[in-house]
Amino acid sequence: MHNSNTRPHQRGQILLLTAFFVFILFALALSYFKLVPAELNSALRSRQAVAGEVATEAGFKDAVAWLEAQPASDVLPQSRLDADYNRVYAETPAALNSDWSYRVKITARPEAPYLYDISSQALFDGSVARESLATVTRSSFARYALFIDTWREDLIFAMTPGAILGPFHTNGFFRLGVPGANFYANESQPFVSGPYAFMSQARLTEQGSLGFAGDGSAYYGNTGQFNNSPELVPYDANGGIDSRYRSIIEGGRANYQVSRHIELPDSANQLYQQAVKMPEGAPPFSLPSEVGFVVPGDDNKVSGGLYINGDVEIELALSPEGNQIHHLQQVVPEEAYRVEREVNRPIPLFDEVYIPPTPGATVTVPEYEQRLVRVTKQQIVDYRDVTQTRVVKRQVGTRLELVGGITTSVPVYEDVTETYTERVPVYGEVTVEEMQMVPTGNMITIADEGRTVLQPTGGFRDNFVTESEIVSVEAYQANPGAYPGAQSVLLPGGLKSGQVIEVTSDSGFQGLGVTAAKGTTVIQDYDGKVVVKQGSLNGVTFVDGNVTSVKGVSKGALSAGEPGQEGFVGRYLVANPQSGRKVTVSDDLLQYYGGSDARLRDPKTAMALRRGEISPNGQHALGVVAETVRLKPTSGQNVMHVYGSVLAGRTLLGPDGKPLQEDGRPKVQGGFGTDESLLTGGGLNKFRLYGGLVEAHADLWNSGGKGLTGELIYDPSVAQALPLFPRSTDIQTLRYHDRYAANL
Amino acid sequence: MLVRKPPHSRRGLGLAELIVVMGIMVVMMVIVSALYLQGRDGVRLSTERLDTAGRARRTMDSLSPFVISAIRDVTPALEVRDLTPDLLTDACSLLVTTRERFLSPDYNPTALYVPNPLVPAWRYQVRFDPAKKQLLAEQLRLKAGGGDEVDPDVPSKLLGRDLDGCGFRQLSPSSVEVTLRTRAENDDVRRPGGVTTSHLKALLAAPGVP
Repeated sequence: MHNSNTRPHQRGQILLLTAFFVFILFALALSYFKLVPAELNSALRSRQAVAGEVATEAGFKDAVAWLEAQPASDVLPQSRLDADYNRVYAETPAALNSDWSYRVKITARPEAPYLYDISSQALFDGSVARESLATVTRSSFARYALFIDTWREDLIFAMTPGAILGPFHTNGFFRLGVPGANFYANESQPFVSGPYAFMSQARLTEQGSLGFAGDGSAYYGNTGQFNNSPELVPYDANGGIDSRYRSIIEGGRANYQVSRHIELPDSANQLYQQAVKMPEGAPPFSLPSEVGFVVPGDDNKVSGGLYINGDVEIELALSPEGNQIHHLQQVVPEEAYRVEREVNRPIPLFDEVYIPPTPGATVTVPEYEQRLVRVTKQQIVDYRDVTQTRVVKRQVGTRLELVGGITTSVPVYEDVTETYTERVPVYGEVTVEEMQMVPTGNMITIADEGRTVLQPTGGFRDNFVTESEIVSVEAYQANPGAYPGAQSVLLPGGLKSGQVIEVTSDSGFQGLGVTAAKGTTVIQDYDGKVVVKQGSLNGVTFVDGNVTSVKGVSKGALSAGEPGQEGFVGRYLVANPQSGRKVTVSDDLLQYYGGSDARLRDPKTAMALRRGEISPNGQHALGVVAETVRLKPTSGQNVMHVYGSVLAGRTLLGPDGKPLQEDGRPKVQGGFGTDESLLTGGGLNKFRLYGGLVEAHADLWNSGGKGLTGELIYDPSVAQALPLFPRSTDIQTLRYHDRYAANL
Repeated sequence: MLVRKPPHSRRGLGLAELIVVMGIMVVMMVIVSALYLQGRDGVRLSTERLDTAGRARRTMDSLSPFVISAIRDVTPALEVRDLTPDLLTDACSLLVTTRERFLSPDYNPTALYVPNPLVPAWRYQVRFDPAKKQLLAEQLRLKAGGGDEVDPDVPSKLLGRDLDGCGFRQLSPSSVEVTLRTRAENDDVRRPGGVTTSHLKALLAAPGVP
């Protein structure tokens, strides 16, 4: 229908305007059309990245949890990892939701036990979106400054400033003594300090005496009471007081945590495997049945460490060139034959013969008579009452201290003044008369009265007895027929000495009639025979017996490397903990120092690190592993210096191969302390342990003023330098890195 | 009967009509211009937001590898030095211990990691410089007498620029809350505060730290 109101020349104006608006709106829409997807993509990218990170992290934690569930002493070969873990994820990734899943693979490093690579892939709709690569290892017990598995009820650790310089863990809960009322006000060094400062406990105490929740540890004052004052504890009803925690541990509450139970190893299998390592293709090492030492390898080359069967004394010495010498002494039984024969050993016959008195004969004897004798004696003649006062110590409990007046079973007393009446006797001298036989001082002659005597009759009676005859091996083998029924026996034998010399010095070794170059091993057996073999020992000495004495200077083992580029790695001394063996440190156990800094060189012992210095690096660290470690300084020195990380104790296994349980946790045995003979005799000396201490129980250091007081000086270099030291189930991350799938 | 039809008027627009039309056109142009300017402004604002948010995200992406690779070694994995985490405009830093050699020219994160007990982990400082409005990563070295200092021999790495603020808050030994505020390159008086800004807050965690 025609619009009669529109003039013809106005037609199109609205259209133009509409077109104009459409153009503007189109431009705006186009802009938003470009911008909105960019925003959406960006948001999606962020979301995918976060979800991918979460998924890869889930896979990583899955692998870590699985590794932590495996026995700590097991070294997991790749075949077992593939069969027990990797295969499951290779077939079916673990789904997180309908979109995301993860796939994990654990790879064992063949060159280093306990070292694993974990690859975790996050899958989005089945496609790899993100991946993380991590390198993890089992945490070494060498990392602890102090580890006490079972914390006895009467053990209270006095919190002296700077007492512990590294990680401190217990599988019980801490019982800490607060030294004084102003302990928390002082700004001195914390009780646990250093870059590694960390405190963890696996158990919690019950609520203390304050009526509100605590932090799971027990705090004691001077009176030995547990949590009897708000001033003793680092928390109040509102929670932790970080300034107080900073007096306990560097870094405060964040470094004071509850962790899971960290199980002690039940054996030192990995160290045993290293000690008896045989060359590739060679038959496995066969355990010697006789007392002695073996250097595994073939006729020309060593391939492992040093294996010793039976109790042994070890002195770690250094040759003039700087080579490590193991002086070994053992009581070696001797083989022989015992022949039992029945022989007649006749017994002479005797008769009683009466010899009658000789008529007219006389004998001279002293004369005695009985008469009254007057004697003076001290005797109670009366009693009287005396009123007195006295200060008595009343025992209110006992406690142990390890550092800062380190002792054990120390009674805690209160002084009490009391008045008492004492009835005391009154003595006086009394003279009495009594009858006594007294010599007269005369000699008298009396007639011979005769006597009875035994006299041989000259006859014999048969006496058949079984006698053993010891025959030497040579005599028996020369004529076996002469010794019917002979049995092989071991005689106690004598003390035998041997040496094993690790030639690690650039100048080689000269002595024992041989000349050996760097990288060889010189062995002198108990018969005095000397051989030189190619190759260096790996530093592991495994003793299936007790180390009754060890002392000297420990030098690291030569590590693999190009000639001239070799380094040194830590040394290990193991007394088989699985058999309950003991190591006794009998004198200073020092560390080799080959550097040029005169300040670090010990003035008393050539080539040793100066006593009191901590290691400049971990190349010559020493690890000592046994069920029991005892200190027994034989010289009268004032301070005994021991350089090493010590593990003393083991978890006891039941017949089923699982840990025996005690009080709801694995039962452990062993500990570190002073030799029992010094706790009952001798005076009080001191020791310093440079390294770390891991023990099943805190054994006695001193008692009643006898034994040893001690200081623990944490050595961080040693903590990182003992790759074969026993590991815990705890997994430590060495490296973690993740990336987008686009970078794969 | 024949009737003559009156002729069609040929008269043009009068002045009054033109003025009315022009008035209408002016009103419409004003409306359209306002719409256009608002649209252009919206586009520019979105662009700036995209730019600032993207820059914040890229900065966070550059920062996160430092945190995610953190491990506990001779030093804590993460250590925050920010007394005022809610005040973003002051200097603050985050210290990270990691095995990655982020600032080495031949750094290769996918190379097989070989643990060497004689070589400690590296320690870096992620530092916000409020004067230069930059977030920098610097390698630290041990200082004689204790503590650490920036290693002058290792060039620092720029993680983010035109940052208006930064804050770190440690939540646990293995996690840290990072807040970044980026600003547009040009001021704009029409924006709140005179410039377009973006806030990005993220919780970064180091899975390798127990």
